Amino acid sequence: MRTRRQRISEDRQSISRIVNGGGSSVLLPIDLIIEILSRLPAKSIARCRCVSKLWGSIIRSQVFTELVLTRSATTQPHLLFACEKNGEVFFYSSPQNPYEKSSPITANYHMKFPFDDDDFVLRPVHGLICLKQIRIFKGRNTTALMICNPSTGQSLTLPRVKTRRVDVMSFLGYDPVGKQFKLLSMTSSISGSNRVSAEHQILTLGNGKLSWRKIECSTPHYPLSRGICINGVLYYPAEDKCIEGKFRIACFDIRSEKFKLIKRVDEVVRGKLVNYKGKLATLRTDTSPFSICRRSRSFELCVLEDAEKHEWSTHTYVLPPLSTDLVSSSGMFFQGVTRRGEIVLSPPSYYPSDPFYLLYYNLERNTFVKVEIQGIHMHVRHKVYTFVDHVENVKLGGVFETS
Amino acid sequence: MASSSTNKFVLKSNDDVSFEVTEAVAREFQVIAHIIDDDCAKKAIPLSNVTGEILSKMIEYGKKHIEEAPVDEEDEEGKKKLQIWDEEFMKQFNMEIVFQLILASNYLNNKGLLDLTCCTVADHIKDMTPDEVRTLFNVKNDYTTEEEEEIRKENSWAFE
Repeated sequence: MRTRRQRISEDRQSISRIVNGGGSSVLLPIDLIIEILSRLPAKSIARCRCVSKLWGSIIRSQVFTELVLTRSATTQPHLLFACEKNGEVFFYSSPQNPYEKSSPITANYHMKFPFDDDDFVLRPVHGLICLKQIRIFKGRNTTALMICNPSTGQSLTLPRVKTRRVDVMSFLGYDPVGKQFKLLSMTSSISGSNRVSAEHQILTLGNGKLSWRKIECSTPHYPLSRGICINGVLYYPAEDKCIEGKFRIACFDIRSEKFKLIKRVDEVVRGKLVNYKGKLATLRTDTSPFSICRRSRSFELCVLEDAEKHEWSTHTYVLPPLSTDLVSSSGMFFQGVTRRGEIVLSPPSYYPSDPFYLLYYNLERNTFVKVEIQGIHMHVRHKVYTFVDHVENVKLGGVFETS
Repeated sequence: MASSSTNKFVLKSNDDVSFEVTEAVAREFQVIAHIIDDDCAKKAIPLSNVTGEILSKMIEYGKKHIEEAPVDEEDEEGKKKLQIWDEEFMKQFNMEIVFQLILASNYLNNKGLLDLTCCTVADHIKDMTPDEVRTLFNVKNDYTTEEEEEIRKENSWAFE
């Protein structure tokens, strides 16, 4: 039953209010300002630092950066796009869930970094990304690793790995317990089939000094390609050097700095490494280890159930017929899996489609959703890398502060 | 004992407007749920920090979220429908009202409405200049010109 007063109050609402100069007369307490700011995209957060000293210090505070990270990871995971053109890499990000926003999704431009090496953008780890940069050092071109944060614009060039060897593989990892970023670099001595990784070196970010230190590795192996960091463990495909010609998944615990090799019954390690609901998994189709083409009939998802017991579970999915509208002649490549278990595919980085689009494959429904991504400005011969589950890390200083 | 759909409570705003709501709707607000659980809700429940105008809108929101609650976690269609309603619901308010809704949903502890209202403000200010943000939030710029220049330089990418 509605009271008389309620009716009066409802009538009052129909009278439009005139707010003085667009400002609000309601003052919000700090905790509610934090609630609002933590829901902003990184770029807007950066602008809000200029509002006042209090706002600037809120944004710098650990409580705030942790809140943004958690929110970004649990409710608003992002897609990150790295577009390489003319010696620079341009970062864009967009929301990840196609069902919540109507297609097309618009990607927002973040910033660019100088970049000059083909095919070397590592997938982001806890909001940071590692890329290779050409630098002129003593009159010669040399490469250096750079860590950058596309959400704050901070970047840091890392010292060179101390080695005489040319074959250096580097991986970025994050330990969520100790809240530490570390880089692992391995160099190899002999090229060809006898190569083995030696000189394992670690660089811990954020402790002031930037220097590489050597660690022991009692598991002779050779890293074959890039890895993925899941919950404090770095995984990458590797060749086992104890049993010649055997392939394994190497795992490196970021916190304890210990290596371990995981066996697979089928010995197949070729396939896209993905994070499937918090577990390591590999994806591959009947036609290729990394992509779907129109001829593909099925694909296989292998999930690492127990690393100690070397236990994997294999699931095979029969694909629906693939039209030319969904899969172009250059194929669609696995990029990762969303929290909800949808597989995200993109055109090959070296041949991005125009307009740029992604495919989301729903495992349960066996359906594809095509999602157009607008806002990425690209031309022929530009490369576009797509990363799934990127989190916005708006922490200022931190690992970028050096003494 | 009467079920939560028939059991009624009266919520009373600080400007003396009374609203009769079902127990389910009343329980959408955590603070009121506690009052009911503590058996302190015999008569009208006075809400000293909320005006009738704001309370009526909060009840409208609460009712909708009870009536149209998604069946389960998997009910994507139900969630989408409610989300569209939420967006439409927020469109009718200016920022003055939205700020009041933030304060009230924080006070009465309704996480859904707090999230919705904060997202609405975030969406409203995301492309604003620092000056526009200051005006909206009534914040005084206490940086010196040099200090502001310095911070702008550090964040120059955000102004591109």
